[in-house]
Amino acid sequence: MDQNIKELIKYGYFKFKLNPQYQKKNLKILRKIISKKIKAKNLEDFHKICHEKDLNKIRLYIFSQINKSKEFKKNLYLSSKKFIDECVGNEICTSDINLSIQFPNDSSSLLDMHSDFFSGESLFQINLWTPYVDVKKTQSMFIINPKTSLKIIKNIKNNKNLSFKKIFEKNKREIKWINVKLGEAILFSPNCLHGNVVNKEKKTRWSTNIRFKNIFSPYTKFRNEKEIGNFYKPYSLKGITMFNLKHNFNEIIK
Amino acid sequence: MKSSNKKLKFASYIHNKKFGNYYLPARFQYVILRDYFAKKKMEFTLPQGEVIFTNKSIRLIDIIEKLDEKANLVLLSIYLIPDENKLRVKIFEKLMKKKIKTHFIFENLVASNVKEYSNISNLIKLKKIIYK
Ligand SMILES: [Fe+2]
Repeated sequence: MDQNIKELIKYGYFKFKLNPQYQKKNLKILRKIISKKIKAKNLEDFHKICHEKDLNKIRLYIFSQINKSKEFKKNLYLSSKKFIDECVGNEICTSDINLSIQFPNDSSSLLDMHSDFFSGESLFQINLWTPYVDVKKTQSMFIINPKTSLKIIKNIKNNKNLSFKKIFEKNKREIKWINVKLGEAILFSPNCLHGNVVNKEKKTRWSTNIRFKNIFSPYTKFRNEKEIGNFYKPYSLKGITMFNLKHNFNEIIK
Repeated sequence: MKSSNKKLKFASYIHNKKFGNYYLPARFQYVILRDYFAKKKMEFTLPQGEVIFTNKSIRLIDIIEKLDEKANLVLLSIYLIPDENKLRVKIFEKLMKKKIKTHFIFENLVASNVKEYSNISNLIKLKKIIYK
């Protein structure tokens, strides 16, 4: 078994180097979008030039622009293609791209400990988490390994008097902060508990995340919008799928 | 290492599955909530979703713990409140203890005292009797 997959199964994630050609293209696009709103020389010092009250507006603007740009998603995919293929294959669908800008000591944009299937997303997706600055400790994201995550989630399902605060406090030691350098990314299973806390470092975190999923792997059992064409958009269809979309053999065997 | 201890003044809460007779994709629930927050001149915060596979309202209880005294909590409907009596009583007691004002957009109701919370409880019970 490939070393990355061994790590994914054991720790819930693996880290890798992005293809620099596509990573640099995206950094350029990101800087260009930001420059339309504010002059930012250094992304990690963004908190020094942007007021906290303007942050959400700017974040929403950048979010909509990177999702409008087909180029940005393509570059994200191509920068990590080999690794995404290893996890979910290459006939895939994707979510939108989420953007996180986390100022030091800002408690307004926190993502509490959770698994993505808590909101009805598929168990069979991989999350590509890409920082645009070096990140370490609380400036980064945390993850809990799959074995411990499953134990905690079973407890959430069965225990009435449990709160996320209690769970967080009780499992502090299980939390793994992932230090990632600019030019690197991680692929993780968002079934594992993950999230962030107040950024206690001196620098702003910039990161994107996007889910990749094989089109034909299972979706959620709950009836909601976390389905193909809605939350998951088809991204790369392969020959035999296109063949069957063209010719309706499917109607014979219903 | 600390998760934030800063108490919230406003919060909203959603379900990612059917509630009562309604189902709305999360992003449309956001739109309704954002509009309501704007109309009421309240500071909008991203809604938190309940854990889909439990009926123990763990996220709702978590939000209430994080809310400040006399804060505002906005829900789309009374159907987001559990219909299991014991759990609902526990949740309403927590809300009343903190004097939290809870808004239910679809029913156009607001509760902030014993009488109003008890009215909502009765409405939930009544619907359960009528529609079951
Ligand atoms: Fe997540």
